[in-house]
Amino acid sequence: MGLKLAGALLLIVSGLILGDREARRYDARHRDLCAMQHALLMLETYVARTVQPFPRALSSVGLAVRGPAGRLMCAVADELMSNPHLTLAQGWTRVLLAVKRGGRAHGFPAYRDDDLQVLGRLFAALGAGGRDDQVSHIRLARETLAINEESARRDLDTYPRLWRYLGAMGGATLALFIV
Amino acid sequence: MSTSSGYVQKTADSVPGFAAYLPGRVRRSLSMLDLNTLDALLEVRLRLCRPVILVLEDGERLLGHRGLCRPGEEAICFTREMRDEALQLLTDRSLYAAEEQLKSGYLTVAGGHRVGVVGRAVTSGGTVESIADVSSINLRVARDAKGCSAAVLPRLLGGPLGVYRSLIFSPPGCGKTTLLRDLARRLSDGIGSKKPFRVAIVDERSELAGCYCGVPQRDVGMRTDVLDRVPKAVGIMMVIRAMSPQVIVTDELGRPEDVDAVEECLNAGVALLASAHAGSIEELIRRPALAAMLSRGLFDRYVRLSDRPRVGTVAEILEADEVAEIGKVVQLGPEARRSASVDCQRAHSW
Repeated sequence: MGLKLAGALLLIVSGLILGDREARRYDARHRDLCAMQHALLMLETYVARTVQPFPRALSSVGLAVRGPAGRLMCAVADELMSNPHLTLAQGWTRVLLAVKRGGRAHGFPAYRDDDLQVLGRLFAALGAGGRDDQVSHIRLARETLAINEESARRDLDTYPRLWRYLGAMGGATLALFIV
Repeated sequence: MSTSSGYVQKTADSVPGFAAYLPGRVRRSLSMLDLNTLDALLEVRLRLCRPVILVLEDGERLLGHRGLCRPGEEAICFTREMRDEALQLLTDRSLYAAEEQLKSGYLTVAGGHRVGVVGRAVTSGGTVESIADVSSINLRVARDAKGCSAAVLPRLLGGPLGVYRSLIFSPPGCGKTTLLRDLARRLSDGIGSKKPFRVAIVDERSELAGCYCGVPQRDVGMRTDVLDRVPKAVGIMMVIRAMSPQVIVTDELGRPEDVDAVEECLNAGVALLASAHAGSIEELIRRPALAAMLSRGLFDRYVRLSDRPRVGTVAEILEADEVAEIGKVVQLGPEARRSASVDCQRAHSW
């Protein structure tokens, strides 16, 4: 009987952890979208006010912005600096591929595909345009991410609680079966 | 990897440095060229919607998908996508940061390679604001010719300043800049037991030192200061005040404002090595600014270069009084001019 109780307790705790982990993803996405907007605002300032090339600007922004969004910027900057024959879009694609292969999954921002598409479109548009053109592309990406962030904030009110309930209830249901 | 032709076949790992600035397809094709062809490569010319052309020492060749274009083979066409890629790579993925440089129609990239860019010029009030719709890119491969001044240098040393004030002239593409660079390097590093000179280069077009991010990409000597991308007339005065050089080296004199700057430089007790475009002394005299310099006796030595039998050949070295004599004859008429020119060439060509 003691073993059954221990098993049931383990199931409930596991359910809680799983639910909490899913809930945290919503929280992380919202936080990382905010951080990326901040990063893009800094990048926009670099482009508008300085003559620093993108690899160095991305590196500076990456170091200034904490968390996964900053690490992502640094990863792209590193890729570009170590491969001078890559365009910005190619550097971005390489980083994404590396992430998908699992090489850099740890600490990668909790973005969904539509968030990554915004950044992909941005990197495809950067590099070969004049200052005003580049600033407007960065601004567009920042505004699109702001819309995504608004939706992430709405999700934050509903889904984390739902996942935590689901985790706890799922664990409890399984525990009931055992007992 | 040796091939049957005896050449070392280049692999992707040994692609020359400048290839990193070219679009992927051009880069891959260049990686298939043999060493001799790469050594003879002077320029890569990319023209929108037209084939990629390599300018080699012995002429132009089209670039195919696997090295030089063979008869019947299709050459690589320079597309818009390739143009955008090239512009990104040439400007460190940041065209916006190179807009100022692009206004002048050229860029200097790491390695000292110069890239000419033309397209639709956006003008405002008569000045070029930017270059849009880039249509042609010309990458001039930087090549060092260390020691090319060995024959000329002894004739330019001497006088109260240690170095004669000298003007090197020739038509474009005869090696004036290369000779000036080597002279700067040798004077700066020291020649044999002679004391080295403090040299300053006023590099209006980043051609002499090929500065990239403040670092000269060409060997211009250990005691050489470079003032980059500044008009010569302003730059000469700036370096005199800031760096107290013994020798100033600058390229392509010819504007009216250069005359006063050169005179100031010489009055300040600084030797000057400069270059100018002209095919002969007569042509030099016909250029108003240069004629003014000649009439004021601002130079002690005149070095004429030629591209025959090969680029960088020293055709003649004239002294100031000989040039003054020719100057007088030029004003007399064509007959006297011809005989003076012949006499002068007989006496001084070497």
